Amino acid sequence: MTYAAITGWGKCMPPSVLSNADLSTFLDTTDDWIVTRTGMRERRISHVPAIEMATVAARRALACAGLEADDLDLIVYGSCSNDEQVPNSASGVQVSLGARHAAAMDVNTACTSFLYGLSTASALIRTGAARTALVVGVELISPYMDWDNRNVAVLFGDGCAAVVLQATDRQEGVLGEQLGCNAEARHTLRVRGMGCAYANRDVMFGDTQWDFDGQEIFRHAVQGMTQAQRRSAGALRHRAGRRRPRRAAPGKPADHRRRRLAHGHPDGQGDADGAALRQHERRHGARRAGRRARGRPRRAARD
Amino acid sequence: MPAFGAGLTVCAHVVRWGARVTPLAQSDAELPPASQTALELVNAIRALKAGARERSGAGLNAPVLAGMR
Repeated sequence: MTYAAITGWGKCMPPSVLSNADLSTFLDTTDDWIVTRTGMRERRISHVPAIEMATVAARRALACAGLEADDLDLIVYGSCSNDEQVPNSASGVQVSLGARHAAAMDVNTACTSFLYGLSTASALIRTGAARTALVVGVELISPYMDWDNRNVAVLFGDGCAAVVLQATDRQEGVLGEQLGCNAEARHTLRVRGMGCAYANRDVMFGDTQWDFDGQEIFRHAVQGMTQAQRRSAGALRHRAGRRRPRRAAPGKPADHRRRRLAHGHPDGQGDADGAALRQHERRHGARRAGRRARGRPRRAARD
Repeated sequence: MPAFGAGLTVCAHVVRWGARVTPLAQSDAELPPASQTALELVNAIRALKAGARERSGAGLNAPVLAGMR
């Protein structure tokens, strides 16, 4: 089986530091207000385009892996703040690096763009579609920031990180994963002004208005991350063919199975999955029981 | 096990690192030096937006967009 090992890593942080004290010169905020609520003391502001940051991070990751740009056959660029929509940003990194043999694609899932890119590149390596991939996560959000809104202006900065993945027979790299999207929460974070829907409406490009429900986002993020972690660990256990040790449960084995259905999968699937399983059992429970009943005499006969 | 998420997308990975945890080589790639401080960069962006805010407001809140899910 082929795996996608992480063999190179690099980052690029712009040198200009925007402190909380800097923010307080034009926002109604203080260092204490920001640190208490976010833990953040500073963020970086870029003076160069995102592709330039990505190129520096990529060169560092390639050197770390001991590879040349020509060794790459895939570049995945994760971002929601692309320098241009067309051509794609991954091709900008490709031409800057001189990676002549690479395919190049952008991935935008906002905050999780890098991790979705890592999943995508790892999967393409596992299938054999690529052997050596560069995954970049970069944001240059300062030009799009609503600098008058302290609820968002204090939270975001510019920066970039990159990894190199290489095909290997060793069991390394992404071994378990869980991707998810709570589409019902689209309204909790929307940057008005970024996208074609705002074209020809007298909106100056770069002037934005952020719909940002911080408490809802925090709640969804914590729940979502916890659930995703449990599921990715469960997927790993499933892939490895290992069984989770079961607790000793009183009663018949059938009781244990029913309890599993009532409270969700032991590998961490949530209430929604538990509800689906309960519904499935209501609909098909009798049929399953019938199959079990029919199966026993046959096994007994073979024995 | 890294995981990350916001209000919308979430992702978690179980990653096994290889035996090597140090770089094979170092790159000398660097960004060009910045001639402005971060505050100067931000204030330049704010100045560009200042004149456009009133004009952009209507487009940013156009009814057809307000109904967009």
